[in-house]
Amino acid sequence: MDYKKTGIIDINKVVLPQNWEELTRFFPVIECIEKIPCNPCSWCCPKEAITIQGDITNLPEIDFDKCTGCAICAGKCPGLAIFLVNPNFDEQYSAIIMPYEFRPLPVENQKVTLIDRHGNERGNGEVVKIRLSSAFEKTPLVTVKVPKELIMEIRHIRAIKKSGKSGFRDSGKTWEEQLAQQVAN
Amino acid sequence: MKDNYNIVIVGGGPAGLSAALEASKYTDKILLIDENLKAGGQLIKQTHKFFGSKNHHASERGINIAQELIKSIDSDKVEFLSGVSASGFYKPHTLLLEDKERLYRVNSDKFIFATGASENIIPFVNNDLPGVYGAGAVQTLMNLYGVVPGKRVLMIGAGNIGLIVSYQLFQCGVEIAGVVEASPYIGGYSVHAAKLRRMQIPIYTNHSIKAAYGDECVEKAVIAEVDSRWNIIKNTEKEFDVDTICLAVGLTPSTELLSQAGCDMVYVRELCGYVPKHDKFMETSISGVFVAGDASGIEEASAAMLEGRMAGLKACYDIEKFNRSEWINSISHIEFELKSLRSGPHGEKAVNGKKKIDIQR
Repeated sequence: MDYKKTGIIDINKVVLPQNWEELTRFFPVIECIEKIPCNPCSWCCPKEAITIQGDITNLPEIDFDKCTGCAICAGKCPGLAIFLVNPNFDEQYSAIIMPYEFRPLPVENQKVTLIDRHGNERGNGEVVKIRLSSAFEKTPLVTVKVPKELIMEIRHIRAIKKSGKSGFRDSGKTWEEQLAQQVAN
Repeated sequence: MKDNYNIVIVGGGPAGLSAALEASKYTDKILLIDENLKAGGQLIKQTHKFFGSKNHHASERGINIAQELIKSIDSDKVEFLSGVSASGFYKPHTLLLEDKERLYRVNSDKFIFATGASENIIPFVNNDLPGVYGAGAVQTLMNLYGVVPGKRVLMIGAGNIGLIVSYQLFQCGVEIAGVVEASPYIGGYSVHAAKLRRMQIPIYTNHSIKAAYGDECVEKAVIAEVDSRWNIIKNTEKEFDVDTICLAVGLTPSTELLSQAGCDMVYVRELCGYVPKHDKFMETSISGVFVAGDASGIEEASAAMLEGRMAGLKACYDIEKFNRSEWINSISHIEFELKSLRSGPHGEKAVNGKKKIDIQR
């Protein structure tokens, strides 16, 4: 029940593939350990790798052999609780695909501060890819390279500001223009 | 605008819209009224993705759910009046309405009250200072009108609303000094809490707000630890420099009309206030008077939508007596989904509460 006090889950309660440290592909880490009425992860999966048996409040179960790492579940999850990790993204680094619902979005190759579940800064990483798709319900998915030993800890990023300027991509529009655009949409 | 309708639905939130949508499949001459200018109730302020199952729009954002519901309603069958309040109910079948200019009445044999809920307030020193908001007001300002309420906010209440609104504030670039919760545990879903924690937002369980300070508006908030009886423990105060205090300390069902109509009302703690007794079809002790959504007990929007559909269906079935097997099919489907939605620890309150007000017919 500790997470009900802190809001921080214990990663040991999350189901991971066998010998996951050796994998060289992305697989989902479903950080959903509380019985809540929710099941998009199970019906959005094109490979039917994630299932919820019986009541909608039961926890999702995953068959890692069926998963192709498409990340649709990470985009759909209303709790933003699904992350995809590739422990051996390249020789030196792991990579994490995480939902990131903040503007402005980081850009590819940008350096970012890595943040863990507790909100603590844990060094720097690099953005590899940004994905925006209607399949993800407008939740951008950001792929970030992280040191291998931090792969099960990093769950958020923050932009590194360059001398007072936002490191994030700027649309070049003023706040008023952006609002007018939103209203028009 | 007519004088007589087959069904009159009060409240255009998730429950009322769902009732209208379901009823319009089987009958016409339906009136839907809402005191706000836009239909959708609280849905139109919800920028986050919803939980639930595919059938109740899970993973969609609340704002889009409202749009979809409104779009699917046949306007030939459902007349929608906005900016209209229902101010009285007179047995057996007259509802008094008022808009800016006039007071008038409509008649019907079937009424569905989907009147929602109002926000609670808690006592603390200077809780009337400008800068003390309800979470609903913050959402209206921010998500409807694009205005942030302040620069640094202290959130009171770690239920789902407190957690979600904190996240939405953070998305708008507002700093969150912390989330304060009097009970020993976070009441909302842990996935919402996890999002805040990784943004380094502290959650103070076993704490309550003691006072707000400021000359003309909030400049400072003081919280303190509370014991198991929620009494403040001395010398445990913490101070925060904030310009906004947001209260997300629960909701109370808005049931004045049902009460005035003469429905059997019961105070049920689990449902957060006085609610009308009702059967599984959402019909109250007065035949032809239905309730749905938060007015029948505080729950989530998914449950409200299902209850609305149930009330809409039953009201129609009483009028039109459509195909019996279709009727049984539809209601058992809704019953099954409601039961499933209320399984698990977060549904216990609703299940226990509903048992106390069940009418067996």
